[in-house]
Amino acid sequence: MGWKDFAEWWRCLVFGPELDLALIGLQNAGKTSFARVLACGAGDDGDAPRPTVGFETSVVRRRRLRLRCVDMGGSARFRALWERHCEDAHVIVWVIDSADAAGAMEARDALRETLASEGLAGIPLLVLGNKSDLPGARGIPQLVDALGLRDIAGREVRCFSISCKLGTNVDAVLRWLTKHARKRRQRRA
Amino acid sequence: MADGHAESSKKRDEESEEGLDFSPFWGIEKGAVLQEARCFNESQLDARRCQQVITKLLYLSNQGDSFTKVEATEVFFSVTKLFQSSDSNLRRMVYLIIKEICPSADEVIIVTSSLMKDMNSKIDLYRSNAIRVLCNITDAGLLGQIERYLKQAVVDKNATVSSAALVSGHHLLQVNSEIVKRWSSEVQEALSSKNPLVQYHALGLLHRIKQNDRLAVSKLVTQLSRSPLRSSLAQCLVIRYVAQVIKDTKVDEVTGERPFFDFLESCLRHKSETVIFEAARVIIELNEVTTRELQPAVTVLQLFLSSSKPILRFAAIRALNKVAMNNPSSMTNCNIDMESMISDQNRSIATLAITTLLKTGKESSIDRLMKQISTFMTDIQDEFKVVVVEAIQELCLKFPHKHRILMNFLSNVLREEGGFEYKKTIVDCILCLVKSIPDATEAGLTHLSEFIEDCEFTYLSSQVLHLLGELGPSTADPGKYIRYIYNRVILENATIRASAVCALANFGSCSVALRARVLTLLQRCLYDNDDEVRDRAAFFLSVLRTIPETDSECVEDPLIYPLAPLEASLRQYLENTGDSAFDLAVINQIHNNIASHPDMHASAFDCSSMNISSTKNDLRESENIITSRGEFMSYGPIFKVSSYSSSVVNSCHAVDLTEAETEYKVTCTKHIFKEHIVFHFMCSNTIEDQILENVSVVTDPIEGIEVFAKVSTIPLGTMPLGQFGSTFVSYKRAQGLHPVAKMACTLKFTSKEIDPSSGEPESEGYEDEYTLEDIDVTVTDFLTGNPLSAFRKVWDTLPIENEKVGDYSLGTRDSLGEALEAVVGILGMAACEGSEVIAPHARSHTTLLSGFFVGGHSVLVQLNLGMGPSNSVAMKLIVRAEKPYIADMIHTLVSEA
Repeated sequence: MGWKDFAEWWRCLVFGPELDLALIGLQNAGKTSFARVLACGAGDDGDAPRPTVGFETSVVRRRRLRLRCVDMGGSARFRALWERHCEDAHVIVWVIDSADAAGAMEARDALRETLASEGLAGIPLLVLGNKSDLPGARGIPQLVDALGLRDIAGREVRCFSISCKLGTNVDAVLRWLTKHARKRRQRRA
Repeated sequence: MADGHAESSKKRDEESEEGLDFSPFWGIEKGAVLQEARCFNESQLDARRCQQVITKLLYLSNQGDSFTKVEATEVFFSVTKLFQSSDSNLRRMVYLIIKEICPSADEVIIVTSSLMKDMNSKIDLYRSNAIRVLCNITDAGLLGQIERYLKQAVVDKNATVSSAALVSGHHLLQVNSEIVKRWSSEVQEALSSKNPLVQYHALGLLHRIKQNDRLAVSKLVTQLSRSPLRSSLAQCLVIRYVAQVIKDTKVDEVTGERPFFDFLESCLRHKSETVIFEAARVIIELNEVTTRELQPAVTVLQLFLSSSKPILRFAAIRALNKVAMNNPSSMTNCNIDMESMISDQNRSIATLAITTLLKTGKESSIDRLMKQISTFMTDIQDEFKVVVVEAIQELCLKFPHKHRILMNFLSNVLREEGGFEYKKTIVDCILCLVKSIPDATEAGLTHLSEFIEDCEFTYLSSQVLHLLGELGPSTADPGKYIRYIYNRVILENATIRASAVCALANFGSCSVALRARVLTLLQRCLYDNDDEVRDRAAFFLSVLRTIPETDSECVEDPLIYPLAPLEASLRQYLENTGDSAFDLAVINQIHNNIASHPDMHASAFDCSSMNISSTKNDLRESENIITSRGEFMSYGPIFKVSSYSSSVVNSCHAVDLTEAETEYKVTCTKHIFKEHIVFHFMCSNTIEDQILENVSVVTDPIEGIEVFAKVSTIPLGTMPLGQFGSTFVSYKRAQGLHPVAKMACTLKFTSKEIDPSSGEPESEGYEDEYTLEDIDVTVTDFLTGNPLSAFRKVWDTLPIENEKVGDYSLGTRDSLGEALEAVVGILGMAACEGSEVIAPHARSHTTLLSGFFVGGHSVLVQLNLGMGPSNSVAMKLIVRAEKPYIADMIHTLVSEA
């Protein structure tokens, strides 16, 4: 065990488990909203966030879990950055607007393209179908089909249907993240 | 390079052994630092190490190392990852490096959201820095988004945040002034901040926002002059703005008092020295300042003179130096203080003190001063010495009686060590004194001839030798200079020897007594190594021998002919290759012709070289050519020469497809005579293996056929290669009609190819033609400026019934000056009585223009310009002319432009 690993282990012991998340996905999927929900809980914020220009980082503590989120801008001009920032992440979080059927194809292609890069091999993928409260929102099976998640090999894939607006299922996501972080630690130890 | 490194590391070792500090950045290299920058990408950031690397990058960039685009992009992207760290020191470095290496607008945009988050964070340090960086990289679209936050930040409780927003406002003013102008109420609020820094920045920004509104500035200044500001720097700004306002407003004629002068005077009693000095400086620089107004300022500056702080002494003496130029009498009290400053340790202060004393000094105190200066001269730098010498020159011109002592001083310093600039200043100074003070001539010449005995600068030696040749023969004992001059012939380099020969010859020709001796010396020069020296010696020998024994006449300057006409006629002579010999009288004739029009006289003399590239010279040259042609003599003097820019034809025409670049160059110049107009076409052939003969330009009026009737066409025999030949077309103008025309032009010529084997042109040529651009003739061509000193008088003599008035809209303009320039450019008339100068920030203005219409008819114009809201300019044009149709023409000209 090198010095770096030891330091991380020690930090985990003192501060609780850590996890680096990279939030990616198409524009207007709800990445920044999800980051806010993680940070301050659901539904308190009146105005919708502005489109992210570039990226934003934030550090969140929930239930002894330290989450470092990199919230990436979704517009096409920033997609080149995704790879760069996903490389360091422990979990890639793909947020998708589950009510937006028209964007499904674009989302699938973008996801494929991103995951195809070498630097991201093996990093677990967490797919969040946001806006489940809207009418016409697709369920998990439809999302899995639409994004072609079954074809993804070589990494752990998990899919949740959530609503950032109402806070639906966010706890489930957090539970999964905590479990994942623990598992990671055990694996390292 | 390797040696350098070894040496530097050795040096470093030595230094560290001695326990001295050395830069931690000693010998760092860009490549290595870029390698180190990879630590930004590690998943566990080492904040301290990252800071160090960024510091190194910043150091390199400040030292002038530039990063390639790829390097900058790579660094930038890895730096963006550092936003994940919450280490505040590291974050500061991140801000700095982003500002330093923002790679391109496209990429830099990706930190926008991160910065916007920081801008609204709770940590003040983040906020202020993020504001600065964000404003640095933002574009107009984003600015709208962040404006709200910036506005809040201006009035933030925290001084650094507020200051950062205000300074960013300064920067944004250049990019997007409209947005910043909307902040004025917030900035006004920041002005009353308790923090001096914020106050200073707020005042600066507020003034820049209101800059263009004179009334608002005046109001702002009035308000601020009543209640002193907390920050002394801001107070200084107020003083400067007051100075600006004073400059723009007039002195109250009744009381003779200036507005705000009381305020300036009260600032002289401020507790901060900076403010005191600023106020004093402004008072000194007031227009037409009176002695009474100066007195309080001089008094405080005098106190500064004896201050213990060198910076205050320097500032004070520098300000007093300015006073000494215009009002030496008002500062006699300071002389004692200044004399003690000559021995000041700071040499800049001492030099300023001396030059100031030299300016204020009385005739009686000069001797004492010079003594002090001579001891002082040895231990100052050359550039200071130059200043002193210049001051002495002024002094000597002021007190010519003292030339002996001053000249002695100059010759002493001339003998001492010194660089070229310094020596040149001294020599120039002596030359100037010799020329302006007759009594000093002999002494000056003696000093100079001693100087060239041991002078290392060729330029100065030849200059001195020339002067000796010019002035030496007329002195009482010219013989003594000959030795000095001839010594140069023996000892110096070729350039100096040649000048010395000329100088000698001057002596020989002017003084009969010396002629025999000079001839002997010149004879010896015939064996010189250098061609030029030998040539000059031989030339002067033969000239001197032709002068009768008793005659004493200076060697005549062989170049009595003005260069430009001489060259023009020589060219023409070569062109024609006539049988007769070249006749110099022709040039004199041309010259006299030109001399009869005084304004053209000057232009002909100035034109020393035929520089085709410059339009002005082009015109003069063309004018010279026209005046030298007999054909146009009958037309009278030229009224105006103009080259219409669009008529400068640069035609490209592929004659032979195998040639890569074939072109004829044709430029046209219009010469306006009283009743005629002559188009002068300058044609040049750039194709080597063909000859163009019988070249002419056929003009065909498209418009204005009723006004202009063709008189003659003068073709050009051969179009020379690479040089300009002339062909002319002349028209007669019908009187009283609107002289506007458009001419279609065709270049016609006979082309003969050169046989490559013999180099001779083939006997048979073929006719060819080439279409040129059209020529426009406008009314402006027939107008010239005629500056009048008494516009009103002439205006009243012109018949009022010929007055024509019209209103025009000139559209949106940046300033009145720009609008005026455009109108004057169209009319081509001269502004009178300085009315072309527009007061800064003026909203309305009247300009008086005067000119002649061809035939010597006066035309006067009054232009009333006014700037409305949204910068739209309206113009009222009042024209009076001798003939009503001329006034109409002016209006048509303006309305059609």
